[in-house]
Amino acid sequence: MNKKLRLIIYVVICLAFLVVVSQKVYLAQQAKKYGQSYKFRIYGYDPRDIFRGNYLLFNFENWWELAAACREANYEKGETLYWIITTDEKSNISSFSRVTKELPQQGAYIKVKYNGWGIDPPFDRFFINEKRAAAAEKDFQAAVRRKEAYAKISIYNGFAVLENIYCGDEPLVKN
Amino acid sequence: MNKKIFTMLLEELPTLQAKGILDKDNSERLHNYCLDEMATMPKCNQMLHMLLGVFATLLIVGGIILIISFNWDMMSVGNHLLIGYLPFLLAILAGGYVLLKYPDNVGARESAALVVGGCGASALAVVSQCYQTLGTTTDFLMVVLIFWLFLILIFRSFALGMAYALCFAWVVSEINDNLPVIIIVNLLFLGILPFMIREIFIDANRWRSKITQVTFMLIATLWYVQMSDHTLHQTTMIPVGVMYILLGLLLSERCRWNLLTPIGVIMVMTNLCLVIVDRCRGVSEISPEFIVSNVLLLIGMAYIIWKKRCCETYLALLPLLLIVGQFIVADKKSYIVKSSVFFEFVAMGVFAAGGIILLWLGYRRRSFGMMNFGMLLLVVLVLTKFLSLSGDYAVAGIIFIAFGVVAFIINYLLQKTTRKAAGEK
Repeated sequence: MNKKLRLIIYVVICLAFLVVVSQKVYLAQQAKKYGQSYKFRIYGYDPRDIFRGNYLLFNFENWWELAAACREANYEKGETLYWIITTDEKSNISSFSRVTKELPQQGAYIKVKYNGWGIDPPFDRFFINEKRAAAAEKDFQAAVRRKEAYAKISIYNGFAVLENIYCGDEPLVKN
Repeated sequence: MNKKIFTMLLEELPTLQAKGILDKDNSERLHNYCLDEMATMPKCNQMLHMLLGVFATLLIVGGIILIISFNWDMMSVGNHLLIGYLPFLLAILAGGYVLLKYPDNVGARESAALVVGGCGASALAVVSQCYQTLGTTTDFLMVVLIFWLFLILIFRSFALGMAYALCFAWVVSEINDNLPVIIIVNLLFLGILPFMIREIFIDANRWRSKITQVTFMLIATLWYVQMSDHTLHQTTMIPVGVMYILLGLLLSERCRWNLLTPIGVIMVMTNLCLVIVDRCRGVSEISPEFIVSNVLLLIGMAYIIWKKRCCETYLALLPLLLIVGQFIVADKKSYIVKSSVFFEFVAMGVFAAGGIILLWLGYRRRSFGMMNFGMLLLVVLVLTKFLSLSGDYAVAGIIFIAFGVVAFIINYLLQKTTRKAAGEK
């Protein structure tokens, strides 16, 4: 391979990788800027990722029921589905009410894929600094027991970004 | 003849010429011959300096990472992204510069590939963390590996190739029955194969080749096991063992000392022992195919030992002893292995002492292999400590930097000693 061709391929590959990384930033910033925020009740625990550090692994409260509903509906593996979000006006807590194949014309939704036995939740982890992980895990578990653990999510055009985790009214990450 | 003899001869040439033992032409020819021979010899000291340089850099970079990590929570998302993007952009520019200006400098290419690959992976990790993006470690590594594969081929980087192989081992051991993932993993495996085969065959006597052999063994085993939808058990080890023995035989035409043959034999022997033990306990049956395949393999082993004089084949006895030993002491002494004292003190002590001794012996005997293994042991020790630090990040970071600076000083002193010995100023 000559020098010029090698350099051209190198530039193309680096640009492609930059686009992949930046696309995540762009979509997340769009959702944060223009999206609407929702609070979901969650539960979970604290494992560790060797490459990316400590995180809280969580799931949405009614995720298992929706996974069972998907299995009953006989969706095809890999099929794109939409999680419809409803919000309780009294408590201001949102939940995923149902799953549909058709793109919703109104209301908030999140685009997901059927994995053959359920749906991969749009978020399942919240990264946290290692030195605060133990205390955060303790607060989080106490909040889960009180049913006061929430995930705050911004959604824009079906793309969602996780803003913070709340134990009661206290955010887990302050800045 | 070694380097010392050539140096002595060079020093003696003017005297020999003055005494009339050699005429001017012969003296010049001998002088040129000595210089040519010395140029083709491996430069052990340079290798040691390079290794120490890499080691010191790793320590300092590790220290900086720990200090950033200590202050991470106090930074805004913008700063987090800057820390992710800036090194990557600078690394891309540096990589482009190396490709343009130093395409034939192995050290520059290796460094550039490692820096660009590492910074790319860290940029993706930082973005994933900042926005809490969904995805497992396997998903993360798959994206990174696609990028690395191109970098390896563009920079012809051995070091990044080895890092790729280790990450690939992780990815392949985690895959499930998801078809797109299986396709990507297969492509990743096929993509790296030409590079690895080239590394193994290009000069089978180099340690680089031997390391590639071991790495190839690791990823090929995992890939084979996962793709054949098995867990790692005895029956799947037979064909993998056959594959190694065949490749080892092929290599042994070029190089008597290769690792694939003994590893293949070890796998087959281990497999044989385990199945026999299972049979003795009444756990499993021995099928006729199993007997036939193992008899063929034993014939293959006998051929290797007899014809190729591959003495490493006797290493096959080690797992046999290990297994027998395990069965003898399993019930009484297994608590020793499980004990945290064993891992914290004995294993770490062995790693540290082994690393230092190997480095020292390697330096004394001018053996790259020994020095490489010594460095490997020390790096493994540092990495395990880096990943399992329980203390304060800032203190640990400062300790890492201090060790890095000490390594640089040792490097400088060694260089000075070498120059002094060579009579340079």
